Amino acid sequence: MPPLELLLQQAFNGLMLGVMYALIAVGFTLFFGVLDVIHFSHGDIFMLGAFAGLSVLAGLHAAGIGGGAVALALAFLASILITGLVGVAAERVCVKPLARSSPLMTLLATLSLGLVIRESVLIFYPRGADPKRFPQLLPQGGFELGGVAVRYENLAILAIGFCAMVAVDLIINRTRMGAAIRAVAQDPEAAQMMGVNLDRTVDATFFIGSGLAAVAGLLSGLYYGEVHFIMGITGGVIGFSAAAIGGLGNVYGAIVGGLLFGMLQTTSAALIPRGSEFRDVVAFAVVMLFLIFRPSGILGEKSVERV
Amino acid sequence: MLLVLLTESALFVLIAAAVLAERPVALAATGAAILAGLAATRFVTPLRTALGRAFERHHATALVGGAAGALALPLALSASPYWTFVATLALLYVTIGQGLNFQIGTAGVLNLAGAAFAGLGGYTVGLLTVSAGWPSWLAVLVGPLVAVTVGAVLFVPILKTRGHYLALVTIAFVFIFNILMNNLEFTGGPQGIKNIPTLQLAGYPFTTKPTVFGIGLPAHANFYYAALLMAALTTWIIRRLYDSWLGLALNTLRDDEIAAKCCGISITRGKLVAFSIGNFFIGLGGAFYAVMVGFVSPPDFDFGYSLVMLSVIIIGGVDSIPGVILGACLLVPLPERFRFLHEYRLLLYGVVIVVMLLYRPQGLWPAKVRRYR
Amino acid sequence: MSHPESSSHLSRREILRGGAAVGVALALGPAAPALAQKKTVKLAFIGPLTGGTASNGLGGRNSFLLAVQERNADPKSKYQYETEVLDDECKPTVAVQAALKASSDPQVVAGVTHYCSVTAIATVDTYHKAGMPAMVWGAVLPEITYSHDYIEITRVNGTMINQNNVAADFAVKTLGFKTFALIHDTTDYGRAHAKWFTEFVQKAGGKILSTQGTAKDQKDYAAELTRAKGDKPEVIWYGGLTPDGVRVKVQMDKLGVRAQFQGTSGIKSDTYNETAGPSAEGTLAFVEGAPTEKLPGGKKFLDAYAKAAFKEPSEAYGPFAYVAANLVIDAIEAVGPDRAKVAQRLKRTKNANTIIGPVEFDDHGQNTVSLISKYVSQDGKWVLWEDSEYASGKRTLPGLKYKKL
Repeated sequence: MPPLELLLQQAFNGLMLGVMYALIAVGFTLFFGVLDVIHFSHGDIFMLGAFAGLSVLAGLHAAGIGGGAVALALAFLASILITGLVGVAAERVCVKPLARSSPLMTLLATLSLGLVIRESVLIFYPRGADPKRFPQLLPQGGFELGGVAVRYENLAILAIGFCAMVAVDLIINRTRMGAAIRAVAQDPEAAQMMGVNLDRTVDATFFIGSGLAAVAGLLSGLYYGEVHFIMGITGGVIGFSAAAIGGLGNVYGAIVGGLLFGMLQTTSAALIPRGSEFRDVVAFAVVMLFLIFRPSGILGEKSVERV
Repeated sequence: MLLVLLTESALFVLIAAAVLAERPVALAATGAAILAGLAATRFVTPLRTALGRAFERHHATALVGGAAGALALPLALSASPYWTFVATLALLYVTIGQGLNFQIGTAGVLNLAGAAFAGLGGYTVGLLTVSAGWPSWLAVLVGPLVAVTVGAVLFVPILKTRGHYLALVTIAFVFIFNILMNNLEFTGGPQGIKNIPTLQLAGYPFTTKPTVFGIGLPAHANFYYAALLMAALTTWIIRRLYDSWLGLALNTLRDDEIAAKCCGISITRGKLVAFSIGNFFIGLGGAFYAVMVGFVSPPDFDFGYSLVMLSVIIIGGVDSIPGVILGACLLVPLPERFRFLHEYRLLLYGVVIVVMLLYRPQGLWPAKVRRYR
Repeated sequence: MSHPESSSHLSRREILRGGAAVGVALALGPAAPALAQKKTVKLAFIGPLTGGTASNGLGGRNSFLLAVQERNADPKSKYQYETEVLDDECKPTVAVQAALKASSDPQVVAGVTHYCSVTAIATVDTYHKAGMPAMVWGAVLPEITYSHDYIEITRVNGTMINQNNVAADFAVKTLGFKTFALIHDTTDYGRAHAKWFTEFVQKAGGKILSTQGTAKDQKDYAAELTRAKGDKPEVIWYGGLTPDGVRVKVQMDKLGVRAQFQGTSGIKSDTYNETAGPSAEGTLAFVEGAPTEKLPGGKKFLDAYAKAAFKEPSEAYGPFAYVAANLVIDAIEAVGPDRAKVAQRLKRTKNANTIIGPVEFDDHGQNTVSLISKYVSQDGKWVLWEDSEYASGKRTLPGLKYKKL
């Protein structure tokens, strides 16, 4: 059994990974709640968010507003805006029209859309095939806490991630739009009868979800220092799995699911012999077990309104 | 009758030309001809009704003509082993597609692990022939059985779950299968299993180059004819099942589970049967692929291929048996033909699928409502 | 609308035969012999033109085309050479299809094939079945030439056996590192590198503390690096390609793993330095051959390459593709465009004088003249070890700095 500080470090690693998965999973669960669809191109939206942030930062750098908090804040805002709009466009073009047909259609459509997004970045971004360096704008350096290396970056990422989740929670539970989203998730027809504009609500949901993915993408770029056009492929499947473990439609469930998935991957790589080769096998096997024995998820599905 | 035969011959010539044209002039001419033909049949109403009526009345002739065309295709492709290979691959996808369609279209059992079941068939063949020395033809028959068994064992507890969750479980299974095949030693690791011996029937090895009507054909033509036979048999079996009481029960199960239960249909048993039958044919396709290509490796059976199989049945038309054939014959050769697009190829593929789903979700050859006389 | 049975029977058979005839004619048409004075011979090039390793594939392709262009412009050439360029996407199934396409075209006499090890090993049987000589220009997996006795397969670049031998000796004996933690990707390439490196490190007297396999394109290496860190290794070694190599190094620094980072030829690319940024400093890598400028014919090659104005650089393996193309063309000029004869001739290449120096194939078609170069990343560029400030003592490798602490 490895020493305690190693275990703690691994737990911390899992937490960081989990935070990013959680942000993607929340988007998934929101889309499912509102439209009853699994939006598979969400992983590639996450990638798009990272690249949008990268482009904005490159532009700011060229304009001379290089480093520091200002550039970072601008990049976040711009990326959320751009990615949110792209998400809405994707929904209008591809997801809503098929929402009423079988889940199969939406699945294939969104997967193909993801392919289109991915290939577009590959083709149209200069030298898209190569991994790209992401500017390290968070404060560098760190300290040791009980043998665990904690960097200021990690704290910043955790903080930003936490803020994002709090923001989503506030939007969902404290605003009119949030109430509308919850209403549509519960019963679209009744909601419409109460005066909720269905189209606008769905648009808003996709904007929020995609914006969250953009945040996740930027955080990923900051954390790993690089972005690659294929970084979204597994994001879709993992996001879906995490949302499902937590309970489809339940925002808090998605967060729990995302953290759980991250911890699962890290723990299997850390503790099982040859674990790093089989980390995904373990994670997906657990997902399968969950779906067999507790399909409604850890926190129960489709109860966006209350936890 | 003549109209039917004329149309079929014209199609045959166009297909051969589309596949083999190399020079830009020939390519452009063929492209133009195909577009003109499509436009004419779609928009020139008298032509459309005439064709429709002709094919309906002379059903048998149409089938025979189609069969003749399919048999004669290798002759037209005799100069190109590569295109014979692609044509055989298309036929394999017909077999796999019929199996998958039976699960998804007819019974409503969402199976996204098609690649894993094909992989089970293929890897079984590889392991039996290379490690255990079994003859290829026997291994090809056992491969699908392994796929069926694994499917049955693994999914009995899950078949009660709803569409989305079943889809996720099957996706998870594909990933697990892929990683296991890649990382376990006995499956050959990332290299897979090589040197799978080719098929030998009654002493005739499939690597000999056959001669038909005096024209020498590439060795792949043997596999083409075998695949043609396999696809024809599969389609026939699936058709019989569809028309039978089982098919009706599965359709009912798909459309309304409660109503089906009220009629005394066992949901679990129905889904399991559909799942197993489908997996048999999917596994068969994978097993055949193994002996045809001679090696299996993990990237051959990853999630991407599950999606291709899915596209085949959706583009053709869900629950439509002729749709599967059309879907496979379009979706397999076309990306090959468009290789000259290089990196734009995948982008175009994605766009086409999305457009198809938005504007023709019922597929190119939609399933017809059941007729009761 | 009804016709008497007999006449429709006849017309149907006629139509069918006519259709088949038209089809066959269309098929044979493009294959009609060229009317040019010199006979046309087709050569195939297969490499990864898309995907993560595209830069190497494109560099190889351009070098290949350069060689063909030069030979076509040479009045002494007996034949006119045409090229068929195919993308294998660094994926085995796509590679087999590309190999099938090339080898089933009767006009293609030989091929210059493959950069990725996974694709080269997958297509060995395809070329053999078609009897088409294929010379590998970039893949380093030893099995490609050594796991069989096919006469068609030859390779102009070295295998990873040599590379790892030099790498291990250098790290243990020259630099004095004793403990290693290995991470490798789970493809053929990564696994084989790990196997050979382990063997040579142990032979040189070093110790392997842990070996962890990771999926290609894995994003997060924190778990693996933390586990390795626990054993306090002096060197973290990665067996795999650039995108993952970048991630391992960058994350290594973030996690505070104090060790030397060493990799294989897979990370020796400009992209590595660009993407890893300041983390790249002090990384060690080992490559077959020498930097192009230092090759015997290197400068001539670079000048010709620059003049041809290709969009992409030739990268590390471009010269190998160039040499392979020339060797193949030499063989065709000597014995004619016959696949079997060309294969025979290529296999027996001895003392061929090329821009990478003398080339000599052993009885497995493997070029035995091995030259391994050591590189260190300095100020964002790969510099030959001997030329670097690390060798002269002006700078200290990070790993050695940590050792002293």
